[in-house]
Amino acid sequence: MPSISEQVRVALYGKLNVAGVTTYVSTRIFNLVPATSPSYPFIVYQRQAPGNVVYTMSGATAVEDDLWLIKAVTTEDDNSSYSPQELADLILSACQTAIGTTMTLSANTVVWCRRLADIPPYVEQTTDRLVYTHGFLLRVAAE
Amino acid sequence: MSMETVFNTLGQSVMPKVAAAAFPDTMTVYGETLTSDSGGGHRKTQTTVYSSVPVAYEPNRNDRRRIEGERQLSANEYVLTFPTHSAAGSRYNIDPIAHRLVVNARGNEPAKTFRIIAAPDLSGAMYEIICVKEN
Repeated sequence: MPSISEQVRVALYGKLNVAGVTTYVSTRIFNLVPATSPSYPFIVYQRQAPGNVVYTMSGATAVEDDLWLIKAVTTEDDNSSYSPQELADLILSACQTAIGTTMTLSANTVVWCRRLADIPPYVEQTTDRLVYTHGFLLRVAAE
Repeated sequence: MSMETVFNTLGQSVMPKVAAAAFPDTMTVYGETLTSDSGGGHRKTQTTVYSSVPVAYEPNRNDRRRIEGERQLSANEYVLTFPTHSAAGSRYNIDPIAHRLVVNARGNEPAKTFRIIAAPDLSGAMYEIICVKEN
């Protein structure tokens, strides 16, 4: 049976790869790091921090509680209608709407799925452009 | 004839003609128009600043592959050589921050976009712009 975090990784991709999100990033949704060098904007998500695992008296896993980081990565050349800040915020709003508050796993049950905290935007100077990143933490607990 | 006159003649009359006859490519220089958003950011629209500029490009330095801006990047540094003036004698004023250079497609060679790192010129006679080719 796959670990809960692996199930969440797969389920999150399924949640994000929908029209409301792909309107902005097409299918450029990646776990950890893109396998290629995609055009901007895109989404990177990853398991950020594990919480405590709660066990039953018998020692079985009762609840596994994780934080997932979801980031929108934009540049100022991506869209002439939106600044990179605006575009990242739109993408994150679309992500939050797409994820909602429920999630179906293949072998476990999600009992909590909510946005926990915002990640303040930051700018990275790369060799050839400025890259804007803005994200949020999603708390997912499963039993 | 003073050296000032020599370099002026070279940059403003001779090299534009030499470049037009001898360089293999032409390029378009794109600029940007910035519009403020309501929170201190800005939206960028691309505009054509100069077109049909004769140019030659060559690699300057090979870089290494790395992760930048959350994605894999393999950057190569290039030197783009082109005259400081057009054949009509008007100067190409290059802004290293706002401008982007796009060498036009030639045969099977696709159009190539270069982002400027620095924009030096040789005593006003020729530009030798240091760029990276966009991935």
